[in-house]
Amino acid sequence: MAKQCVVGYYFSPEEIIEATAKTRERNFANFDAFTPFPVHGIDQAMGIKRSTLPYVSFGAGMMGFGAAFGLQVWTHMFNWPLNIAGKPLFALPAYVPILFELTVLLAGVTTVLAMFGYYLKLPNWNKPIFHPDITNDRFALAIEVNSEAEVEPVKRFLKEIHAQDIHHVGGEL
Amino acid sequence: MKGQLVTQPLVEGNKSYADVNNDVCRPLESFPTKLWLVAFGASATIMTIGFGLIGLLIFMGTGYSGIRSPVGWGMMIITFVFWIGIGHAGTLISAILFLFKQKWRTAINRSAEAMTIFAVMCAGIFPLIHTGRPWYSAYWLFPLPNTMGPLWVNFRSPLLWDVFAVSTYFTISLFFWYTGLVPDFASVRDRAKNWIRKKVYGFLSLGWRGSSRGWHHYEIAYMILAGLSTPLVLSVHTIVSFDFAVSIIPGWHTTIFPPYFVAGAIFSGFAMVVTLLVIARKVFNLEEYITVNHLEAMNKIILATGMIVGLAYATEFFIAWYSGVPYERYIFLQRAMGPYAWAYWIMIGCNVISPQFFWFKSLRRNIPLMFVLSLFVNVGMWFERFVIVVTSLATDYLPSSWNYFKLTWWDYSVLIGSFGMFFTLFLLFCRFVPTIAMAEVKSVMPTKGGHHG
Repeated sequence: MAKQCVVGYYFSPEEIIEATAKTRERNFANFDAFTPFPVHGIDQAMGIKRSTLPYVSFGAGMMGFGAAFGLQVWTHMFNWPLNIAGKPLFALPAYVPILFELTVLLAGVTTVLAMFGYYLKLPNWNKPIFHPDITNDRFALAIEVNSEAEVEPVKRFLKEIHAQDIHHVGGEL
Repeated sequence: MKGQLVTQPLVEGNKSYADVNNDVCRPLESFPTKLWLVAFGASATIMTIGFGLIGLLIFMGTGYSGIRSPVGWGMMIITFVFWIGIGHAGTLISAILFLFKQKWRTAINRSAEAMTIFAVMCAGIFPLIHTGRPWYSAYWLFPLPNTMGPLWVNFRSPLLWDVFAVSTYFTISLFFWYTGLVPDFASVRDRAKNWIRKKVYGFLSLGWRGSSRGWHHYEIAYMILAGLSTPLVLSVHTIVSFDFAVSIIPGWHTTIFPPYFVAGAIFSGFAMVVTLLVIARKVFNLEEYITVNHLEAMNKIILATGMIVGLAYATEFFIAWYSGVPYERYIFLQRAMGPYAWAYWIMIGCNVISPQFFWFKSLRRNIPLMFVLSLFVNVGMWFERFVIVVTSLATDYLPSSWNYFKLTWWDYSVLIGSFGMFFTLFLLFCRFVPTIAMAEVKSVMPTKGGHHG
């Protein structure tokens, strides 16, 4: 059977935090909260593991540093050495600004691309938008179920935890 | 609320979450007002004339500009440094105030970051036209493989550091800005009535749905970008100051330049933010979001950085005397009492005297006064760069080549043209992009049970 999403709504950050904490206890295979802004405390309530994104940024920064070092040393010392105003070819202090700039450039650009492309799997315009007010003032709780038969019990559960306007849509979360 | 520069309620008027979207998106969803059309028409015309004149210079030769021996750096370098400086306030607000957890930044960071990007775009034009042959710039400025050896750029030159600093700064600012915009584009998409709007903003929002698992990564990325942008913004004007400080020209070869330039940049940038927001909050009815408290906090920063700049002017003078170097002493006397004394005292008047009004709370909260003072600061900061660039070059080591530097009509027109470009871009931004970071403002609002109780 095709996967289904059962969705219920809340109207304040406190309510959604409480609801996600209760949902987590039920050990559903997949559930998520959709909020108009980052709700603080929801990470702990949902049990979201800390993102590994900082390691990606650090790695990219190191690559930028290495690329800047390699580029400067290779062009000045090996590929085409030029004596300019008697400056040494290996002028480490003079290399520092570009070492810094390329470190920041690669780390920053990679952070954004990795965050959207790898961690959030965006751009993706085909996922269902449960309600247009999720980006306005609604807090949605969506639980993914494997078959039509599981929809009703999950709806009952959402009712128990005081969700409003409960409905379900086909497709993955 | 300990350690916050603004402690009062950040959003006034007892707003709900839905009110934020309604108020911020209104200018995007209505037909442009007459005022906007007139302002846009005027700015775009000035910008077009500016670009036409740049075309004239490139076609006919650099003689249109006032640069003559011995002053080889004229209006174009002065204005480049000016615009780069303007940009710094945006990054300060979006990154440094973020790391200091200053919640009041949420109302102003979007427009300040936009200002950064537009200011850096204006700045970037000037060094290119200063080369006189911008079509060669690609391999003059960037290490591109070529058939002349290959002849590489000189990585030991501050002018090249500047290329890397400014282009990195622009790229990172743009990525940072766009990251902040994605959730807000999704808000605009979800309330769009017609399908073109839905498609365009839907495309720009990348399909954002507000997932909490997504927000988690998003917030970490935002923190990393803020952490990277903080040293970056300090490095950019430091490296711009190296263009001067690494040379051996009296008046330029000083170790005070990096902090002095950075403070001046933040000073001028905040003045520009005040100039723009005083108008924008009125025209787009955003007074309950960009409150007088926000403006007051910015005026405090203007006062603080203005004092740092004043201290730097005094220190420069003292060190010139204390160094005992006759050239250094002479150039500073020339600045204050020589042929460019008029520019020097405009600079002192605008940058040191005018912010002093902000010692008084009632004056810090006086909107017409802060508008006028912010204009004074902008004028003063342009003249600061004029004084630095021109005085040292006009009186060089060989008295027989001394010459009085004059700006030509071309210089003035292109300077004004750059303002036309800046305001054209800013007006477009106000029409098509949410001017306030809606998601971020909501996260600092007190929680209210919605209409469903």
